[in-house]
Amino acid sequence: MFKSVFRPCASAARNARLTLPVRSNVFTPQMMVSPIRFYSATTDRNEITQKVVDVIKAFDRTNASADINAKTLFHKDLGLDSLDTVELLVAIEEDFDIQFPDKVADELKGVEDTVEWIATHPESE
Amino acid sequence: MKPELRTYRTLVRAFVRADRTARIAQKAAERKQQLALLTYRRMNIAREQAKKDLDSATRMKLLKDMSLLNKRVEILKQKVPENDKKLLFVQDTSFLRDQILSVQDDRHIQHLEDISAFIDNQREYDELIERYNPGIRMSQEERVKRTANKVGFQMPS
Repeated sequence: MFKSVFRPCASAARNARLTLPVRSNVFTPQMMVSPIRFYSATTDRNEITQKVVDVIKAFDRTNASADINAKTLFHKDLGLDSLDTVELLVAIEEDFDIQFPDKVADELKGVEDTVEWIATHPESE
Repeated sequence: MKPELRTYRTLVRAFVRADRTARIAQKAAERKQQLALLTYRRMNIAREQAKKDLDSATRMKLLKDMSLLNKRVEILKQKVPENDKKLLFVQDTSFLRDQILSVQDDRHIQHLEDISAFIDNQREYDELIERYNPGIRMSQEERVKRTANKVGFQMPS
């Protein structure tokens, strides 16, 4: 029943394969040498740090909201207890659309660790 | 990770996700209300300005008020409720905190886990209902407008 539909598709696919190498000559060589890959998650560390800092600033239980930088530690500098830290990590998870595994969540003590983990796991879900 | 902390995490996550849609809607409504208020004030100032017997000082003051209001409207229009980072946090966690801190045994933890699972599933259910019934959350006004539009009519404004 669908044969008539599939047949032109197959021939079109074959044609496409044939024409592909011819077409690639049209593109500039640089484009073929370094293809740009787009990830959904940002992997630039500065950008991630900025995003994380923004999230922390929106958290109203931190006591030093003015100067938060990459070296800030959740417990020591911000005065967060373990439950607060859990809330903050959940917020960061939601913002980046990721999930920290249980083991990792225990080890994240500051902004630097968090950014590092996010940057090295762009595909984490 | 301690079981209490893990439970707290699932609870907080469930609450944040469940609240999100409602809070965005609420913020959008608040924004609309504020915009309406500012527009009303602007209209009042414009009405004042149209009067003829005004001295220059009053006129200057009105102009200044007007530009201030315009600026506030601009700021308000630029705000996108979805991007507010406050949405990532539960507003008041004191209740959850008390629950977690008073945990005595595994049964209590299991109960809290069940609560978070329930909230999560309820949210998912609502999302699916909405996805399969487009327009279910539409206001009555909007529905009437679209129905009229379907047959080529337009509601009187």
